[in-house]
Amino acid sequence: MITPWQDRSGRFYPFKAVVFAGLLLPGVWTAIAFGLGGLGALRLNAAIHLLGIWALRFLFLSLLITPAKEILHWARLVQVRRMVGVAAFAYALAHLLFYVAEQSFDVATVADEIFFRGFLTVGLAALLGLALLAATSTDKMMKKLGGRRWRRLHRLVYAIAVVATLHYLQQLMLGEREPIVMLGLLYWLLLYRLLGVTLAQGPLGLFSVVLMSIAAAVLTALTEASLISVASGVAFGRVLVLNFSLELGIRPAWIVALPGIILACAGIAPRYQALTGMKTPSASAVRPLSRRP
Amino acid sequence: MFVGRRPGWRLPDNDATPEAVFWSRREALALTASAGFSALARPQRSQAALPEYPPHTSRFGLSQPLTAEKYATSYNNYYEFDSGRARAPQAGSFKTKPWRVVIDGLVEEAQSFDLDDFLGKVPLEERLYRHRCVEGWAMAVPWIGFPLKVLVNLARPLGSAKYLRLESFMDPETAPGQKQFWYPWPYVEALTIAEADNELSFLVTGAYGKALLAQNGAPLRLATPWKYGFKSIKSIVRLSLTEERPITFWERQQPQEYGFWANVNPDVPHPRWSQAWERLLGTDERRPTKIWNGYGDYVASIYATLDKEPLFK
Repeated sequence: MITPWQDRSGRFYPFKAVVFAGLLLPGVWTAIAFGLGGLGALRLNAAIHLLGIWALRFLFLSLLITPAKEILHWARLVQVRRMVGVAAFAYALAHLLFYVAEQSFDVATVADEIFFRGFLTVGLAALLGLALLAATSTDKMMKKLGGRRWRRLHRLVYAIAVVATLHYLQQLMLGEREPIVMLGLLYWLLLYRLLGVTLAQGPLGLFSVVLMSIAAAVLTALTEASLISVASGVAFGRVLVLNFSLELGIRPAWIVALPGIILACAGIAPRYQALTGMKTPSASAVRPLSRRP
Repeated sequence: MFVGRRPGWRLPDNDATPEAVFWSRREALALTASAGFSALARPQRSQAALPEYPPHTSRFGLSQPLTAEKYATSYNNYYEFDSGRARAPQAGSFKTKPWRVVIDGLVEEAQSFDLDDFLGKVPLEERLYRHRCVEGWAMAVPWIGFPLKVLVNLARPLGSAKYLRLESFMDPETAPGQKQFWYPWPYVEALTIAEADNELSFLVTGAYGKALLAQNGAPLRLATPWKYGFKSIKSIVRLSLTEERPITFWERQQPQEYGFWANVNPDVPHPRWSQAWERLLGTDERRPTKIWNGYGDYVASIYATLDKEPLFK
């Protein structure tokens, strides 16, 4: 059994320990704020929202591990992927438990609501999917299923991410930023994978990552404008041009473009070092695998 | 206005206001007396400036405890000031003094006056009302104000007037939410004349013994406690009597989810959630929603002949 702070060979792996602590942090913060009255007038409600949003963030983070590994040439990053995915499930489960608590543990009402309210049905579907992946995430299950079948099963995570984002978007208030940002990041994650298996037939180059990030941002802007214009009847173009003003703050599309571009810039360093054959300490930190026998 | 008669919605003394609330009102009045210093020392100056009103407090009551002031003043929907999720509208530069109010439309005598001048002439009273938001949360608040009909009758509505249209302020510079042009600003609400004339329809200028805070709809808001909260329009600048039924803000924005009547009913769910229960601010408690939010004895008769209308949407 490997603890959350050990690497595969059983040695203490500080990076993994930090990620583990980071995964616990939002939960601990929520629990403390809940207990001390920091969550406002409807603390159950606030906790539901916080746990749900962190579940989605961690789910996306688990999907970002492979692209980040490829862009940063950081193979050991994969060692935290399972932990991040299981954390997403844990937060989603807590999200549901707090909903049940908010309904005063009235299971009949909960079942009724999940059946009749579309967005709750969708949310439960995502949670069940995550439960399946969490249950099959152990080494034992991996061996039992066999690598090929296991990988195929765990590709389900992309569908789950789509369903979970839909669950979030179904409660969108027009003009609200974060749900649209999450949708845009989902575009980015899906595009990266899609292009990787089609056009690039392997990891994308840095320039492609930048272009793809811009494409994801444009797609986000178009989706946002469509949603608002369909829901309210205002002109599509009028919402779209908002992206070029600060009238209503920084628009989601810009936030969506950012992480991919930053990641691509960070990816220059390991490539440059590989090219020049430099072995600086930072290079070994970026590619620890190459150091190991 | 009432003279000795105690309407049934004023429950007797056994459910009196918690002492803390009563005393906070006393303190507010004391502050008014020494207003000079508070004007300089406190940014929320309007908080202290409320005309004297009789301590009716103990004559009002509820079948539930009052919501703590800190919750009623921090958990709000005020889309003019935030997108709705943050729940703590920042209304920093919002000026509520001077505040002009206009009554026009189908009236014999249109009026335009400064709210402070008017408040000096109308007797204020305190009422403990339940408030039920369409989103499923609820509170009980000691509002201070006067009956809506007092103001409406001032302008003497014509016989042809059938509806009262209420309009909120419009100032995107201080209310950034109004820059979201996909919403049909300014906020508009409306009542039938019968609803506006009902004794429960109350115009509010204060709460918890103080002048109303911006996030609660200062300086003048409506309270129609048998309807979902969005009917209780905030920061009113104009009241117009009309013959045609006005289209309200949410009705225009999302007609499939929000209608003109919006009376509280546990058995008619919102398309996205059940209305069977309500959550009380400041508690983890869930209680069953009451039809007409518990005020059926006073308002159900208004709707006796309107059974073909979607009264609960």
